[in-house]
Amino acid sequence: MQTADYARAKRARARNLKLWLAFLLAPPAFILIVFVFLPMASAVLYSLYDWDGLVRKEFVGLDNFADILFNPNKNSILFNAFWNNVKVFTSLMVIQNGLALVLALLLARNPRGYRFYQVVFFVPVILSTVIIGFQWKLFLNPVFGLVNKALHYAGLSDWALPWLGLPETALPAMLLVNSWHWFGFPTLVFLAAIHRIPKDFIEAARLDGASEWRIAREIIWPLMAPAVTIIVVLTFIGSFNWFEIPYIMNGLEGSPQGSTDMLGLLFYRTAFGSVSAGGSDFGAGSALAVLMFIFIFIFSVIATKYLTSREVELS
Amino acid sequence: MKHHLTRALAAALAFSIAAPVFAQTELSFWSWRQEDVAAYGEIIAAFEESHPDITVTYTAHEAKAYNTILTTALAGGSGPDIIHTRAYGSLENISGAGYLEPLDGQVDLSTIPDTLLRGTTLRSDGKVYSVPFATQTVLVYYNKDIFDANSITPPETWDEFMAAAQALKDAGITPLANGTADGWTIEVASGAIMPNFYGETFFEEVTSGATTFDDPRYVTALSRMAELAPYMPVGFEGVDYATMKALFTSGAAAMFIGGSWEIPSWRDAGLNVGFMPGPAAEAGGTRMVATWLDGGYAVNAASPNKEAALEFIRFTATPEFAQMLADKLNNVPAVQGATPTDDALAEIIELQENQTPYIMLVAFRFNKPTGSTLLQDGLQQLLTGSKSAEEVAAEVAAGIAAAE
Repeated sequence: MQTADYARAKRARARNLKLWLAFLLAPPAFILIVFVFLPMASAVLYSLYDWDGLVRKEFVGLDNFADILFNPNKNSILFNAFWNNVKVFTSLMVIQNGLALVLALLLARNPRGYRFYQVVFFVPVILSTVIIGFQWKLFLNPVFGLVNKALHYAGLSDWALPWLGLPETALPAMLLVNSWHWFGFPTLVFLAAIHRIPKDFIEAARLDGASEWRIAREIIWPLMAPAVTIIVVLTFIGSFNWFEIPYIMNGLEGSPQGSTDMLGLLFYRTAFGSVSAGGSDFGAGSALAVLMFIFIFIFSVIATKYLTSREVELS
Repeated sequence: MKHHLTRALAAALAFSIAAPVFAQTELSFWSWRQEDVAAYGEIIAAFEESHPDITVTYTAHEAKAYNTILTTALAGGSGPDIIHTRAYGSLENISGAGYLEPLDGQVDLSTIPDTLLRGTTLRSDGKVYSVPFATQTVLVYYNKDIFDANSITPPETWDEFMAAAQALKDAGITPLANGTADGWTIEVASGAIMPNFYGETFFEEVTSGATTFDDPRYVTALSRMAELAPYMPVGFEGVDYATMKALFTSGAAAMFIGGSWEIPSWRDAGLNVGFMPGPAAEAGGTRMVATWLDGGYAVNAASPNKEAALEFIRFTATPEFAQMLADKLNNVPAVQGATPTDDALAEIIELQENQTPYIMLVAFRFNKPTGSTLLQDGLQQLLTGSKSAEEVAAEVAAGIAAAE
């Protein structure tokens, strides 16, 4: 009798729990479907049609994809933007994440002012990208910008360049700005990963006379692999969706001469049009968005698989 | 019974009196110009006074979303009776889709110069779909106080222009505020300098296909642009529109090449500014100003009140309307015959005697890559010295030929 009551109560509780979970999950699921999955599906649909401005015309199958990929008048712009995104990814991996790794290793040794540095490094991350882009655009202004003024006072007037106006320096300048904005985030993630490594491992190695370099390379680095996986994949996604900083600092056209053009800017120009670059083309824009999604998705999955396989389980 | 009859009679009588009032046609009028609501209210009131049977309601949408709102409404078979349209390529998006009523033969367009009608003519059928409303003109602005202090008189020829620029530079003043960071600003500047070198007939020839952009006249015009570089601010490659304006309004730079829309901001800054057309190629040569059309007024082809809407459109093509556009909105009207009370507007209208189309916007922004993209990239490279005038001209010509 009692056991039957108990079983019933248990079932009821399980049912309540399921109801409760469903209740909690329904709103986010609804929001995801309406604002993420449906727009994604409609982008795929849009990409299969010919568009006259914002008016949908006939079904054209994969013509839009063929046009942006193989039309020699258009694909050079696409490949230029793609190549710039590749540069962004590799540079951010080296500058932003490399700096973050070094800082994390230093902070992990509990230097004086540890908390202070941790906060200071993270402050740029919490600032709005719009503010950072705008502020650095002012700093880099050739007429009254802080950077060139500082170079003049330091006696380096020859080094004072119109940073954002030259095709050679515009992208590197933006990459430094982006690194300045974000380096605190990978630093924090790496630092947390290092703190997770049991202290005995490092102390044992130190007692055995291993050098700091060897400890970092052979103990810390392999054991922080999960954090590296996350940061690499996030940097990859962020680099190929990079939009805000180039848009705010040099506008929609990827000025000067396409040197800061990105897939995101090209997508925006194609789909919505711009004053100088011409009218909107929803078909080609949607096709480009779909291609970007497929590329980023596939590479993120492969990268995650590969990077996870080299992670070492701490037992 | 009798009582009922009188009542019915009275009702019938009342209805017959009220009928003309009820037959009022209500027109809706959409625009993107939110800043002009009050002025359009006055203009519409003047129209309604002469057309008591028509009322017009002006609705201004958010400027950036206007095209989307309008095309969505038109695609859904609705939209306003009267449409404030843009010109050139942006207008073609809706006129080409058949949403607008052709105006030829229905509206007297003789008050508008052909160069401006071009902006509202659909290229495929040659019909006019919108009555042009206002123009922008590229001008060379100069700070009168700086010119006076350095005893410089406004230059008339290219040589005088270069000499004035050199004198200003020697006096430690940045001669020209323009930079190249925002590509469109250097394209605008080319509208003041280049036409006087490529000449009056080049536009006709290059649009008809009689010549291309690698024409020697165009190369010469481009090489003049390159000569401006030493007189632009230090680091001009990184000088954007905001910096250009700051340099000119602060008095750090003596000249600014820009559009006629800048005048109110110079006035707000309390600047003592004069303006002139670009310098002539040689003494006695023509000094042309590049102009383009900002937009126009069109009738929705699906409007149930087409006749009344056309009546309003006819009104926008009259000198009376042009006068109000000039006085109340401070625009240079496309319709001829107005005498603006504002001195600057009157002066611009005078300069427009020698107008030439702002070439890339007017004729080469229909295909991709646009002439503007090609010219802006080319001018940036020309001014930094990474490409020669010949190379830029060849690239523009090749880009235009390949555009689709």
